[in-house]
Amino acid sequence: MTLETIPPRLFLLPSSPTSLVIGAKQKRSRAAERATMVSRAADDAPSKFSQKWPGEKSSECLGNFAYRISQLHKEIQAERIGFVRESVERNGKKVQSYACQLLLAASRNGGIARSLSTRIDDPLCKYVGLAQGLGDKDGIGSHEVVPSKNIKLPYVEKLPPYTAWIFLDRNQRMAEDQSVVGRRRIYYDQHGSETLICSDSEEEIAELEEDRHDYSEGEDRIIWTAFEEYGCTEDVQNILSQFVGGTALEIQDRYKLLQQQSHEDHNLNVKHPAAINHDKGISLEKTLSATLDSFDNIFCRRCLVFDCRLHGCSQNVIYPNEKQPYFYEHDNDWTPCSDHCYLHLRAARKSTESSAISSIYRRKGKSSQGKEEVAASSSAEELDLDIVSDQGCISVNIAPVPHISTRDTSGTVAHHLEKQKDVEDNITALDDPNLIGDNISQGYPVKRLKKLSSDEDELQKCTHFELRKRSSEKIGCSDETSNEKCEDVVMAGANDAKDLPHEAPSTSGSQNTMRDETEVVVELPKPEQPSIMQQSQGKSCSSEWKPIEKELYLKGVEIFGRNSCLIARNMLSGLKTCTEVSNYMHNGGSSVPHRSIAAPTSLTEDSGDADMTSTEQENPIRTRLIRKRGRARKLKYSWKSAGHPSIWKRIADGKNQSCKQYVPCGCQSLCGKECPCLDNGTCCEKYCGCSKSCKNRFRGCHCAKSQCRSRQCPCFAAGRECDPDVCRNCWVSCGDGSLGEPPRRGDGQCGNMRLLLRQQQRILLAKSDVAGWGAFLKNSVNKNDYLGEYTGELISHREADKRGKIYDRANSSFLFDLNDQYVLDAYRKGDKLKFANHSSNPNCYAKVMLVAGDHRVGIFAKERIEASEELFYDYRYGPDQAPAWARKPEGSKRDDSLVSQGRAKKHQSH
Amino acid sequence: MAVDQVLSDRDSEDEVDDGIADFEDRRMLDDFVDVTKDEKHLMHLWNSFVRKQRVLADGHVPWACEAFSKLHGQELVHSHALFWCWRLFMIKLWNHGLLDGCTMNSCNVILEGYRGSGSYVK
Repeated sequence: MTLETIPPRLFLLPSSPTSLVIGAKQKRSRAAERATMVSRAADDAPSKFSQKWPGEKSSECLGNFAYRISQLHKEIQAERIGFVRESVERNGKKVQSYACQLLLAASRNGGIARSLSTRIDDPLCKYVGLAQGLGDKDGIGSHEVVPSKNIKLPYVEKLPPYTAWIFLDRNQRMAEDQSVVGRRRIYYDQHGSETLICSDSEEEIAELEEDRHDYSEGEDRIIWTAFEEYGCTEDVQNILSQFVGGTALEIQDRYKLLQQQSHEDHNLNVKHPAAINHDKGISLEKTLSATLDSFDNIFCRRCLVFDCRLHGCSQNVIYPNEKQPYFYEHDNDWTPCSDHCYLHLRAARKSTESSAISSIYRRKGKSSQGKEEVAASSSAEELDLDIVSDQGCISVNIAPVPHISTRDTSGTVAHHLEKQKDVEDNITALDDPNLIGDNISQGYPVKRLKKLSSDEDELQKCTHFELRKRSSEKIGCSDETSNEKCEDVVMAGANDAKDLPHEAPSTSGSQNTMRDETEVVVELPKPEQPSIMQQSQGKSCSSEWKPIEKELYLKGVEIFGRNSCLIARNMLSGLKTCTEVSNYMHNGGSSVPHRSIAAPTSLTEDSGDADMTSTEQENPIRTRLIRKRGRARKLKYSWKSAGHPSIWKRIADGKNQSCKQYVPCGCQSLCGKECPCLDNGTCCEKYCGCSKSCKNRFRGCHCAKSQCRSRQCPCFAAGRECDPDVCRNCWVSCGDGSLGEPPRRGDGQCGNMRLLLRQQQRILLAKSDVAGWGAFLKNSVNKNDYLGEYTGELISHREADKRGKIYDRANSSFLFDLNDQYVLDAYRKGDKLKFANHSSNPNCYAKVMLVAGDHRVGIFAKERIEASEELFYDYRYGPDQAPAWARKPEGSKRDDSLVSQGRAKKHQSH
Repeated sequence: MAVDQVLSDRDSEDEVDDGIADFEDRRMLDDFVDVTKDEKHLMHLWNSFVRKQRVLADGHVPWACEAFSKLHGQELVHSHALFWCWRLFMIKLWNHGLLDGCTMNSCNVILEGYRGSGSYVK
């Protein structure tokens, strides 16, 4: 066999009746072949290579090579022939085993030839009454014969052509594969009754379908063997290209692909040391942002759903610049969160959790003072010590103060409530008799602070931000922090016992009393054994912290402050216990995260503290990080300002303004000149990153009783629907009632959320009085009532131009100009209002409304419309663009009064 | 269809059929290749919930999270992976300022309730 005779496609399957079965087998055997191919190549490679390649002249080598290739060729072919033959035989047997049963069955019925007629004689079922033909003649069945008569049917006007569309209850962005740009389109020309290719020469894009070579298994094997044995040189490639076909470059690429595949196969076999926690289905090695990636990509922050069809996936993720205040637990009991709660250990552990995230630190001076106090005050009255343990000998364990300080940022209410919590908290902590008992029996000084909770409440009411210490001992901390609103600098003193109206005058050692009604501050000298033991225990049981756990912890601190119960419950449940979180917190394993907003002034306040210093060092790093991210995010938007020349128009600008597509900006704090929204002429919305006080924000309305249905409402005047999150009184509820509903806010009687709430009329579809199908109203409505939304696919103007060409030829278009970026196309997807016809004297009007940042088209009644009237609105074509049927009668004036949104390209015929 | 249904004057043409919408939603989500099964499941549960409960405004989200925790609590605590997804999703919502810490905590308390006391320790 000469080389030339070998077909480029080496092995084709014989077309046999069993080819289907063979095809199925093929897959498996191919895989097997690949495996042998790889292994053989691997075996052969070293020997051949060392024998032939080095030292020999390339010409000889190539001669050898060509010979080897042709050998290989034959070999493969022979294998293949054998394999195919075998398969045919195997499958032939199988088929036979099935077929003989059938043949048997057929012969039993008197032979194949007669089986059909026997079936007719003996049908599975009979239909009575209608059969006039064959059945009668055969005389089978007893049915009545309907005498055939000539009936003259009345003439019925032809129905409009059938039309099919996909119902959309809301607009959708066009899916990528629905685009007609760059595609050859074929349409049926009714006038010529022929099918034509829609082409416009200037934009006909030659589709460069690359004539790609498909490689068969055999070819792959040859390529693989050749390269493995002879190396990847040009000569080899050239020879191979003769054998296999395709250019040398293609062959090289193919080889690379094969290499990759074999590599992957190999990897598959080797078991992956995957870091996946199989129990939990959680990968702990990934970072938090990587784990959140799918949510970030798929969740639509605007529609609150995943895989939103309007805004699409992989939107730019914009986080609000303003974070929420920390959460301060105040409506459930402050009890140990679990068996592993740090509260249980508190009494025997050093506690620095007091140092709140909001950078509250005790002053060194004070703590040393505290030390003295403790030393001096075994007989003293109630103390509430809060001493940074780093300072040395004393650690204060049950400390209401720290919690108060943690929560200072939330303002007064939380502040008060928290204190109460702390009291309860401490009491509960004492409920563990062992710990306390131990401590007491070991003779540690126990300070008691007696507070009845009712008193505590009172206290909280009267002491607002500051609890002054009356006594000279003045222990405690003064904590300063700035909360979100920045102006509230909260001074929270430690509750000095003496401030309390119901203080117990002297220390009581009684455990019972303590448990019943007291708050106890247990002090342990730090170097003492128990606390160290506790810590080491804590460490040993807290296994290594995985990256994501650390990140979750930090996120928890961001959300909850340094409250290990809450962090453990909400962030790390199932991963870490409260105790572990607490230990981690104290062992400084965490850089203390600060929010970017946290004012540095609050940090510098207590700069004497050792903890403090470390925090300060870490803080700038963290802020820098955040800033960097902010910048990166901003960069993403630059395309926008670049793409659109800034045409600055105000919202209430006038009638024929072209709406601008809103894209949320990611500006930090206030929007400046570089804000893309400002640049684009849109308002900032709640979806923007900028602060709520941004000057470019649309602020909603404060309408009380007007129901926002007139231009007195700023939302209505701006062509917007009211937003329950922004407008003061325009609240809507949610939920179908089965799960309760959210608390009401405002007394929403708003009549300007009709698109949002889909408060639409029933539309009927019927044959139009004018042309084709038409939309009709079921129930009568009043002027300016909302009838429904004109929904469709959101397509770009470019796409619309392309589609429009075909639509215009068919004289049936459903395009509607939405804004500067999008056109609505209801041709394939839409709702029944797409059938409302054009009229120059219509009873409806279309209006583009901004609903939650999106433009939507509402159809409204222009006058009172009675039930079952047909709906018309003015398509508002430009004077030159309108098809003949939509041209205005001479001299008619356009009524612009209500329709403010420019031309609609939509037109429709029939 | 029964005769009275036909004559009932009820027209469901413009209504979204929950079953179909769920099916469509699942189908769309299934198209993602790099999203885990559990993530998809959670996404589907959430989408379905949001549609049925008409969660329209940002202000509805805290309520929605609590109601979701109650509605699907049993399922969430049954599967670690699903629970993990839900937790991450709540963090995501918090990142967007849609969910406050207090509500997040309430949700987790609800879920703890489903799980039985103390068993969320590892």
